Amino acid sequence: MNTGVIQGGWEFVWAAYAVTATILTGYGLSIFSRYRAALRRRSAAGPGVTR
Amino acid sequence: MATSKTPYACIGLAVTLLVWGSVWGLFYAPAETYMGDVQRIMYAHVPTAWNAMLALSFAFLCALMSLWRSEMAWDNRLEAALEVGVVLSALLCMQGAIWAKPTWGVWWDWDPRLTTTAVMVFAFGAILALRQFVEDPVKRATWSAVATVIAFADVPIVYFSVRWWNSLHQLQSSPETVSKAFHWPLRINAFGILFLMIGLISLRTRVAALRREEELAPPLPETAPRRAPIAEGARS
Amino acid sequence: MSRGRWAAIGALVAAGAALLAITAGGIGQNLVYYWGPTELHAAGPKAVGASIRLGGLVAPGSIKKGEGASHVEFDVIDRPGGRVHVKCTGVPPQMFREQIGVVVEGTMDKAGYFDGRRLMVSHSNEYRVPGDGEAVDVQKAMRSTQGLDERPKPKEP
Repeated sequence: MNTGVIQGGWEFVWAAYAVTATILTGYGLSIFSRYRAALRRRSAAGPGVTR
Repeated sequence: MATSKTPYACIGLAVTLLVWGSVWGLFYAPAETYMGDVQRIMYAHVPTAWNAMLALSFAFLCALMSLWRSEMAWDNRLEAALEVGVVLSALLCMQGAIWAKPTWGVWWDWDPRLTTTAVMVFAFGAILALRQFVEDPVKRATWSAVATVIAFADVPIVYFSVRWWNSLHQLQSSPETVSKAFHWPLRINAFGILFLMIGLISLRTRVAALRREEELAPPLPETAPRRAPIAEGARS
Repeated sequence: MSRGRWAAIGALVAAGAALLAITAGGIGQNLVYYWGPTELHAAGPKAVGASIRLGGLVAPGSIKKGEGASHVEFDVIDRPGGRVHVKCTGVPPQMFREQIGVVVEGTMDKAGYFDGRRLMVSHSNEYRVPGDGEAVDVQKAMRSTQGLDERPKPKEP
C-alpha cells in the first residue's frame, strides 16, 4: 500500500497556489482602494484644509 | 508626499517574476523523488517564509528608528511593514498546512516551528489591532514601536526553532540539499515576492501618511454640506 | 536623552532578556516536542498511560502490515540505539517507508509496545530529482531528520 512516494496530490498544489494568489491579490487591491479613498478624501477636503 | 510610480513598477515586476517562476515550478521543473508533484508547493511556501521574516525585520528596524528619531515617517513605515509581514506570515501558515497534509499526514501540529510561527502571527497582529485603539498619534507610535521590538524576539526563535528543538518541520535546506533543477523557480519566486513586498509596503506607507494628514488636519465631516450649504456650493 | 531613546533601549533589553531566557534558560530545555525511544525507555512505567509523542526513524525491515490497510506495525529507532515497537491504527501517510522520520502520538502499553493513535511522517531537508542522489543511507537520513542532526553519527542503527 505504501510505496513511500506521494502519488498525485495536484489538488494540494493547486490549493496552495490558489490561496497564495487570492490572498496576495486581495491584499494588494485592498491597499490600492484604501490609497485611492485617502487621496479622494484629501482632494475633497479642498486646498484650504490640506497642508 | 511621494507620488512616484515606483511601487507600481515593483508590483508589475513582481507579477512578471511570479508568473515566470510559478509556470516553471508547476510545469517544467521535475517532480521530487518522494514528494512527487506536491513538492511544487515549495516554490510558493519558501519565498513567502523568507519575505515574511524580511518584512518583520524591516518593521523591527522602523520601530527602532521611530523611537530613536521620533519621526512620524518611521511610524508610517512601521505600520506598513507590520501589516505586510502579518499577511505574509498568515499566508505562510496556510500554505504550510496545505503542504503538511499530504506529506506529514496532518494539517497542523503544535511542534516548535509551527507554534513559534503562530505566536509571531498573533503577536504582530495584536500590535496592529491595538493601534486602532490609541487615539494619541505620539503615544501610538511609541507603544507600537516598543511592542514591535519586544515581539521581534520571536523572529530569530522561529528561524532557529528547528535547530534548537526536535520538531516535525524539517531543518532549513541549503543549495546542497536541494537539486539544481529546483533552484531557479525558487529564486525567481523569491525575488517576485520580494518586489511585491517592497511595492506593497511603500504603497501602504502612503496610506498611513495620508491618514496621518487627516488626523492632524481633519477634513470637513461628511455631514458638513447639510449644516453648511456654502460648502456644498463651493464643492459643486 | 529623549524618552524615545530610553524606550528603544528598554525594549531592546526586554527583547534580549526574553530571547536569552528562552535559549539559555530552563524554558528551552523543557520544551520537548517528542521523546526518542531511549528517553521513552528511561521513563519506564511513567510512560504507561501517559500521552506521549514518540519520534525517530522507522527501522529498516521492521514494517509489518496488519489485517486490512488501516493497521501497521514497525520499530522506531534513535541514535543512542534505542528501539521501540509501535502498533498503529489508521492509514499511514503515503510517504511512510523504512528509514524515514516519524512522530507518533499515543501511549506506552503495559505489554511493552507503543500504542500509536496518530502517525505523522517528517520530511528531511533534502529535495532531489529522481536519480539524483537517490541512494538514501541511514546515516544521512538520521542527520537530516528532525532532532537527530548535529549529534554524533549512529554506530549501529
